[in-house]
Amino acid sequence: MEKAIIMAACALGAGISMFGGIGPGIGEGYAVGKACEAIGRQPETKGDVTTTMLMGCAVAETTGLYSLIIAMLLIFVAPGLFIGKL
Amino acid sequence: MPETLEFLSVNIWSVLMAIGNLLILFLIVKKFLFKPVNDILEKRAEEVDHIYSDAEQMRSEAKANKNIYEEKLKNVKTETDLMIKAATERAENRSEEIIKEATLEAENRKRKAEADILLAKKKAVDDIKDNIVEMVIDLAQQVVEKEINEDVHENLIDDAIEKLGERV
Amino acid sequence: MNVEITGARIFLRLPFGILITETQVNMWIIMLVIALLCKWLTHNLKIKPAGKRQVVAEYLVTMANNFVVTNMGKSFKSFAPFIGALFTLSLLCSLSGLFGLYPPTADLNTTLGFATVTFVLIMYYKLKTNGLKGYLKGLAEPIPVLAPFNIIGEFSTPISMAIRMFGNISTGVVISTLVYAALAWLSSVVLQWLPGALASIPILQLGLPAILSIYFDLFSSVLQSFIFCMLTVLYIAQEAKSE
Repeated sequence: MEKAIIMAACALGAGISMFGGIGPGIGEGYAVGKACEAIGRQPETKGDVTTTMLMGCAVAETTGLYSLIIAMLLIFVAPGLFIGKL
Repeated sequence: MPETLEFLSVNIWSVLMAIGNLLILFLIVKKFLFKPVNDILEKRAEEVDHIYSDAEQMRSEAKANKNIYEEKLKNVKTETDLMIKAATERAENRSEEIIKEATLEAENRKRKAEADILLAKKKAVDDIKDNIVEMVIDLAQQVVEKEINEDVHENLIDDAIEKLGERV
Repeated sequence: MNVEITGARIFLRLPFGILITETQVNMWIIMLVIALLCKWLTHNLKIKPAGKRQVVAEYLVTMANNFVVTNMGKSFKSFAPFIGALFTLSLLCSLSGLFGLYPPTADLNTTLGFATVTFVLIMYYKLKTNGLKGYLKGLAEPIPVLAPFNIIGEFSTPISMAIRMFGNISTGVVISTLVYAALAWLSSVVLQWLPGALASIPILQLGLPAILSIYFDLFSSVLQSFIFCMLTVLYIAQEAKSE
């Protein structure tokens, strides 16, 4: 019974932690939109804009990846930790 | 079922191995790819530099040659100029001489002609004088008959004729 | 239906807790491939370019040199081999998923190792430009109370770099495993009317995973390798230039 509760809590927690994926989604979408605007205004700077945008997206993705790591820890590591203690 | 790692696990030895692998690969790539290719690129750049410097040298040589030739050409020009000048001078001198000679001769001829003319005039005047003297004497003889002595009156008549000759 | 998402397979347990896993073995294979490729590309080089092989080698080297010089400046040209090695290793490690190998970059240990090297380089240049005193002083900026956060910030750079790469590649592994399992289950349900052994062939696994693989394996691998190198270069250049 306790096992089941722990597993369920971990899975729920992992799911909730992935709400953190919303932020990077919005942020990257905004960045890409702005990059498109910039390319539309000055098509000759396409290469530079694209590189900078990808860099910015990668950095903005970090928070999402943190939540992904938390989710992974909850799924793969936490149950073993807690269940081992029982 | 083979033994596996946890999906999310940290093993310090594996981290160290990854670092070591990266460093070894760095050395491999440096030694086997970057060094030879950079060497080749450098060599090529050197060769291109060499070619350029050669070309530059050749160009400067050509420039020097050109300068020499231009100098020579200039010299030739001045020489010809001098020659032409000398020739013209000579020619001018010669022409002046010729002209001088010509004028001299012309003057001589003119003088001679004038002398001739004077001579002829004098002769003519003398002739006319003689004629007139004879004529006057004849006339006077006819007018005065034998009254006039030729010897006595000849001076008088000569004076008259002289005056007449001056008027002629 | 049982889906197991696990890490790399352990081949050998050596004393002191040293593990020889699939990650290490795959990495060695990839390093061998890269070394042979380098050797093959650069044997018999000529001053006058002869053949496509030399053109490719020169193109790769010039590209790495230009990348480093434009982002870090001329004095860092010696970094080009390191950046080249980092890029090729991480790229091929990620791409090895395409050949059915377990991608070594989907193991947190590998990316942590890469990030540690970057971190050491960053710290080296930070200490070189600021000096130890200046660096410690910089930690206590704007007020000394914030020093713990600054220290955490120092360590967050390599950790976020490691996690970025690991997250992107391992997500691909997880999602493709899940999709494969789901499609296997789906085809076993849909095709159970087929006679005998035919039913056990997961025909539905044919199309969709390929499309996912294009994104997770190809696009994500190239992008993450590039971003890892770019971030390394930018951080080092930033630390070396800031007075």
